[in-house]
Order: sequence, then C-alpha cells, then structure tokens
Amino acid sequence: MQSRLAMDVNPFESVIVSEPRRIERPVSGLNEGPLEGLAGQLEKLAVGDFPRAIKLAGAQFVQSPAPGYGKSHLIGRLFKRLRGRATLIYLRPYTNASTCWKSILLKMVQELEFPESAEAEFCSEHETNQLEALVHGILVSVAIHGIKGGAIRVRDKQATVGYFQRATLKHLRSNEKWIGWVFEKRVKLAELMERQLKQRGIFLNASPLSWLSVLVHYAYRPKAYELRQACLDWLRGGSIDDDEAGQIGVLSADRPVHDLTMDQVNATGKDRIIDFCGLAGFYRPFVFCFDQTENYGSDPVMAKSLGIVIQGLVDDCLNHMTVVTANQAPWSKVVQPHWEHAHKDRLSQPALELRGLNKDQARELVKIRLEGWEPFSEKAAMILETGWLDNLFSKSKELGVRHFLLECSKRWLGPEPTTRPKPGKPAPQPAIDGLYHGYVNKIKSQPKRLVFDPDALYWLVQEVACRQGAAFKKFKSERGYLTARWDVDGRKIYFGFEAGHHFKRWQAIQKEAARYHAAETSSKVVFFRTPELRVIPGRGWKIAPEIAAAKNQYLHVIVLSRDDMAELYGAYDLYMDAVEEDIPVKPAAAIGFVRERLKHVWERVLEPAPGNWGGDEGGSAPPRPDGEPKTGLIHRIRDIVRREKFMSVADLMARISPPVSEEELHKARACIAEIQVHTSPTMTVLQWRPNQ
Amino acid sequence: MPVETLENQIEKLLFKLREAGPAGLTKGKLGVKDARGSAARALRTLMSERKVANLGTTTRTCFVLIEHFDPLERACEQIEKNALSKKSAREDTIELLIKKDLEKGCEGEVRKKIDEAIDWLVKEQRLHRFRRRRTLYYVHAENWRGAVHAGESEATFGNTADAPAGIANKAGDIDRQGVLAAYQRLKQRLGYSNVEISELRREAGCPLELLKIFLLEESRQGRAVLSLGDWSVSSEETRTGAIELFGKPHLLVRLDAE
Repeated sequence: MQSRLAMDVNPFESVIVSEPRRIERPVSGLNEGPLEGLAGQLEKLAVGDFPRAIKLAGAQFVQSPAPGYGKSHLIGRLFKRLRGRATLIYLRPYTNASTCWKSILLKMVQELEFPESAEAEFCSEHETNQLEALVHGILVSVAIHGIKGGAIRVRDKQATVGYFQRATLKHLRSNEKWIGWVFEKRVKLAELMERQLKQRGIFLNASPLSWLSVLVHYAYRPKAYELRQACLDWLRGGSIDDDEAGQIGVLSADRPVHDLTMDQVNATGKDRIIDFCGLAGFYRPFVFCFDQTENYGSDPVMAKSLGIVIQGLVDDCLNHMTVVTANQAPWSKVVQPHWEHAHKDRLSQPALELRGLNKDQARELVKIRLEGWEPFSEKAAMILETGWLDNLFSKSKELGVRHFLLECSKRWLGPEPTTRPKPGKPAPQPAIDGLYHGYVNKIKSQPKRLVFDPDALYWLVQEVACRQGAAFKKFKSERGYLTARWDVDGRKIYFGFEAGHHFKRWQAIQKEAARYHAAETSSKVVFFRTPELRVIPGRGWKIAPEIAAAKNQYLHVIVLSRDDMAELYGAYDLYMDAVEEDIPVKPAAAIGFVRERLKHVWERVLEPAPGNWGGDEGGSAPPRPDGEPKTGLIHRIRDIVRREKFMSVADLMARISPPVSEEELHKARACIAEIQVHTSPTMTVLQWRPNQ
Repeated sequence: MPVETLENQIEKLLFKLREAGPAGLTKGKLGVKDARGSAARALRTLMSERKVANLGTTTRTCFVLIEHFDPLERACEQIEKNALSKKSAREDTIELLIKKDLEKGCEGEVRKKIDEAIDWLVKEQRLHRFRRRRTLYYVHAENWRGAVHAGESEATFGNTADAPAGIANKAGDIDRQGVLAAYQRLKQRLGYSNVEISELRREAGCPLELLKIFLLEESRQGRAVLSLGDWSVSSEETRTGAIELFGKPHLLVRLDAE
C-alpha cells in the first residue's frame, strides 16, 4: 500500500540541483562525453612521483545551450566519479569582486569539511572529512619519502613504508606514539617537507612549519575545539590570537596582522589557495567547480573579476583542475565580453557541451524518479505510456532534462482546477511565495549551508537593501573593514563582514567604527554574525569592556539565528536561480519579493536606538561546539526511514527519543546517502532510496 | 470599492485564458474594455512577458496563452482542411486549388504564416504544388492519391507520386548542403555547436523563413536539435531567428552529422 505522503509528493517536482553531493542516479549515456573529458583531464594531474607539481593548460569549460541541461548535476557526477581521487570544491558565485579570493578561500575551507565520501553532506562521528584526508595524505607522503630517502631512520624500511601506505587516518589518529612523534618532530618534519617541495620548485607563501603545525593540530586534536577553530581561522586567512597561534605553532611572520586592509586580506586569501594547491602535490589534486556563473554578469566589474580569478588559478596554482560551467547566451553576452584576451585564453577549447535527453534516456529517467512509488499505479503508467513519450519526442529527438521533467510533472499532477485562483479574487499565495518557502525549507535541510556566508550577506545589503534604489552606496572605509553603506532617512549605516575572532582585529574594527560614528553621531556600524562563529567580544578579552561599550552606542553586532539564516540564504538561492532562469521568476521580481518579505530584518538593521538592539545579542557564552552527529541517532533515523519509505520530518522527530532539534536531526540525516529529501513550501518529506 | 491590483488582473486574465484553452478569447470576452484600464495594462504586461499572444488582428482579436500560440501549425491545419474539403465532382479528375482557396478562414498571425505553412506542407508531401506559367496550383496528397488510385495501376502510381515531390523540392526547397557547410563554418569559428539560427541564416545567405522550415524538418527527422537559448539577453536580430517549438521560441540549433 502506497503511503499517503508518497501520493502528496510529486516525484518530478525537483528540477534544480542545489547540492552536487546529493544528485540522483544519472541515466545511461547522457553527457558522458563531458564527464569523460573532465575525468581525463584529472588523470593528467595524477602522474609522477610525489610531491607533484603539475599544471593543466587551462580551465575546463562546460557549456549548456540553455538552463536546465544538467550543469550542476554534471558536477555532482564528477564528484562521485572522482571520489577519493581529488579534493572537491564546489563554488557558488561570490558577490563582492574586491574580496573574491577571500570568498573563494572561505568556501574552500567550508567544502574541505565535507565528508570524504562525497555522497553525504555531513560527517558522522569518526567519519573523515576532506581536510583531514588531505592532512593525512600529506603526512604519510612526507613520511614515506623521508623514510625512503633516509631522512627518517627506521629499523625496517620496507615494513614501515608498507605500514604507512596501508594506514588510514583513523589508524594513525589512534596511534598515540605516532601522534607524539609528529608533534615532537614537527620542526624536522616541516624541514623535510620543505626540502621535498623545493625539489619540485614549490615554495609556500607561509612557512612549511606553520602549515604543518596547523594541519596536524586540526587533524590530530579534533576534540580541542577552540584550537581547531583557530586552525580553521588561519586556513581562511584570518588572524588568530597570539596565545592560540603559539600553542599551535604558527610562526610570528605567518600570523596575519590584525589590521590588514581588505586588499591585503584578499591577497592573503589567494596565497593560502596557492599554498593549498602546492601541498596537494603530496596527495591528490583539487577540483574547483565554478557554478551558476550567470550571476557574475550582474555588472562588468564582477564579470571581469571572474576572468582574473580563472587566470590566477590557471597561472599560479599547481595540482588542480578548475571547471567553469555556463549557459551559452549569458556567458557569451554578459560575462565574456568583459574578459581580456589573456582571460579567455585560460579556458580550454573547445568547450565541453551538454546535450539533452533522448527518448530512451527520458524513459530511464522516469523509472529512476518513480523508484519508491507504486510501479503499476495509474499515474506511473501514464508517464511511461509509449504514445505520450513518442508524441513528446516527435518534434525533437532531444529535450533538455528540466523541460522533460516539467512535462512529466504536469502530467503527474493532471488538471487540478481547485488549485487555480478564482477569477475576481486575489490569488491566496502568489507562486513566488511558495517558491521562497520551498527554498527556506531546503536550506534548513542542508545543515552545511547554515554557516557564515559573506557573499549571501553582501548580496542582501547590496542588491536587496531595505528600499529600492535609495539605500545602498558603494563604499570602502579607510582600513577596508566597512565595505558597504546605506544612506537612509538622513542616517548612514555602515556594514562589515567579518568571520574572524581576533581581538586585535575587532579592536581595530571598533576604532574604525568609532571614527565614523564620531564624524556623524547618527550613524552606526552593522556586523552580521552566525551561531557557529565565536561570540564578540570573546571571553577573557582585555578589550571586552571597550567593545561592549561600542555595542551600546554604534557597533551593532547582529547575531542571526538559524531560522534567520534559512530565510536569508533561501532568499539568496531564490534570486540566484532566478538569474540562472532555473525558475520562472524574473530577478527583479525576486528582489522585490525578498525586500518585502525580509522587512523584519531591515527593521532590525535600521533600528537607531542601541537599547533596542537586543542587548548582548547572542550572549557571552561560547558557541556550542559543532559536534558530529552521534552514530546512534544516525542508526535510528536510518532504521525508521528505511521501514517507513516516506515520512515527514515532523513525524520523524516525533518518533525520536530522547527528542532532538530539527537541526540535529538534519545533521544526522545528512550523513545517510540513501535518504532523499523532498522539500515543498509546507513540509519536508524524507524518502528511502537505496539505489541512489 | 477595493482597487483591483495589477497582479489580480493578471491572475484573472490567466484564469480565463486557461479555461478557454487553444480556442482563445477576444479582447471583449477577456473583459478588456478601456484601453487605459487595469485589465488592459495587465494584458499588455502579459504580452510583453510573452505569456499571452494575439493570434488574431488588432480589430478581431484572439488572445491565447503562449503555449497555444502556434500560428504556423494552425495555418497548416486550416490549409489542409480547405484542401481536403474541395472534392472533385468526377472520380478521374483532380480539382486544382489556388492559394486563395487554401487561405480561407485564416486571419491575423495565422494568415501571416500561410506561405510558410504551404512550403512546409509541400515539403512534408501533404500538399503537391504545380506550376503553369505564373500560376501555382495545389492538390492535397490524399486527393491526389485517391484520384491516382482510381485511374492508375499500383506501378504507375509509384512513379506518378514521386513527381509532385520533385516539383516541390525545386520550387521551395533550400540548398541543404549549403546550410550544412555554413553551419560547419560557424561551428568552427565559434567553438561550439549550438549556433544562433539568425547567425546561421546570415552565414548561409538563405531566406530566413525557408531556413526555419528546413530546420524544423531536420529536427523532426532527428538531424537537428533546437534549443531555447536565452531570450532575455538576446538581441532583436537573434530573436528574428526564433522557431516556435513546444510553444516557446527556440533561438539555437545544433545540426548533427548523419
């Protein structure tokens, strides 16, 4: 008996890939050419001895004749294909050209924390993430080469090399003797690593000792939450406390000073990326995938900055493959015209072109989508009816995947007059509202997205703003901490986007904010923070009273709740997909809707009285460590959903004891590759799909 | 009285047009009376967003949802209907028709597509075209076949039936090899295989309407794939190359080697 929920879910509704690690099984033969082309390029990066120092001739360019031909799906397939052979980085568009490298690095580090398995979105307890795998790969490679070359003396060379070749991160992490040795010999190991790199002409921007110290602390001290966060801050190019830097072993010269200008921060971001790619020579290459590139066409500066970024990656970074996906018309008409010849030359030609489905592939896709539904139901038969498919493909031998799925969706839903608006009465829920709620629910089901995203926040301040055309002004403060400004109701509101936690940096921010406030006392400075970031001011900061005083006058630190983030990021995704033409909404309409929908956010931002800013906003308690979901919870969820086949998140939560929050549940659920999530404006349904 | 918002009006119009389906509605039946009223504004908005189109003329309107805006197909249907309705009084005689006979009942956008539709039907061998001096005559394939069956043996029919197709090719066909060569040049130059139809026309130097018919036929035969491209960022010139398929303007074509 088919569950009632299954009847409510339209298997053809999902037509957009928002997370490439969660794609459905591809149909046979579809776009195999581009996939093989990309995999073939990667093979070129996997030859020769470690450490490798290989550069591809250019970035790989994947072109689609129109939206909906499977660009993001191809990235997902590539991720599956390259699982274990590359470190996979998916890059949504950045929104501020002047901090492009900083944004890319931030996303890169976020992606590095994705599971090594590349099929789930969250690491379960004891599961390895990509960064840990990279650290393990680097250490093992350095050790093996050290042993082989005699720099590391062991009793039985062959046996020890064999041990390291077989050792997993889990093995080594539980080997106290090894960990103790690594920490004790860190300086020697770093020298050895440097010598090996130099032999291949690789020179790191930061010292090898700082790199090694950060990496081993991250991988081998997972329970030391504060230090691990400091390591991540450093990897993101941010400044860290001297105490923490000392404990980790970051050399003074490699500690970004607290008052770097934005340009310097951006340059540091690029240096870190170059270093990461150099270190990848010890293990396996990076794959950077730039998706949704239409968004770079929003203005010439953005379009040009993408060209500069691609040129920078191709010219300056070793051991990586950059993939750029694009829809043909926007790319050739609004992005590439702003590129210089040098930028265009960095794209490999000819482009890898996506194609549509043929009739057999369409039939296969229908069968894939109908897995889990009653196979012989009336609706399923209707979709698989030969005559209908014949008719659909009689005018064209190929159809874009999304076009075909939308046709299936229409046929599945059939005529539903009750859902249509009645004439003479306003439509109860405009379609865009439903879409928006769907996006919000989707974000809530993707716990990895619920982190600080300066690009989404910058877009919100720049593109949406509180009022049409009136508020946003392009702006850069003297030190570059404040990057946007609103002029509204005779007041100036400055914005900064800072994920770091260094007290000196915050002191510098506070001083810059104070200068602007002193020049115009009605002004204030807004910084957004998200729950996974550490609280400002930090516990034990000597300057805490100064920051607290500033927060009572002009420094408005808005700590967004996870619900706020889901709304803001949902709005951002809605807009991005509108620009991509993935949804039938014009970008301007999306902006208009979001502006109206997020009134409560503007009210918070516009509030002039510090007394109404919500006091300490976020409290002084340190953030809860972002622990991995417990294995027991994952097993329970797996058992229940496997038994039920279809169930709503609300029902699942009711069945879990002791109770868990929706966020915890989604984190645990995201570890299970066999569970597919269907989101709609009103609910989120989980489906058991073991054959994904 | 509550003020009718533009959004409400749009929803109302869309509802009516959905109900009307392919038959469409006149301006009056849509409730658009005052050209400056909110209903007229809503209709203009829908037309500029290409959600609704007028199949009729400015005075005799017939508004349909864009998925039903298929003037070429309607013209073909009407022409065939007209051609089949003219039966010869004698079994051994074929009634010859002229263009005026074929275009009866076609108005507005459908009328504009008459020549294109005739070319299409000739190419499809559903209509045969004959010339005597300056006058072109037409016979529907079924009438032709029926008459030939009545008066000829099977063997003779095979030969005779080929003749109109040959005539049609000479009269309205396009230089296939020329188009393919132009496509290859364009593909080589641009570095990708989905080229703009308008650009292909410029490269091939052939009449646009004929090229469209040719590409539609190639698509039906599985030798070409039409793609939407991106209407919003395309120039007026690019848009002239649009071929309606599934109710949407397709701007790009990929020709596959046989």
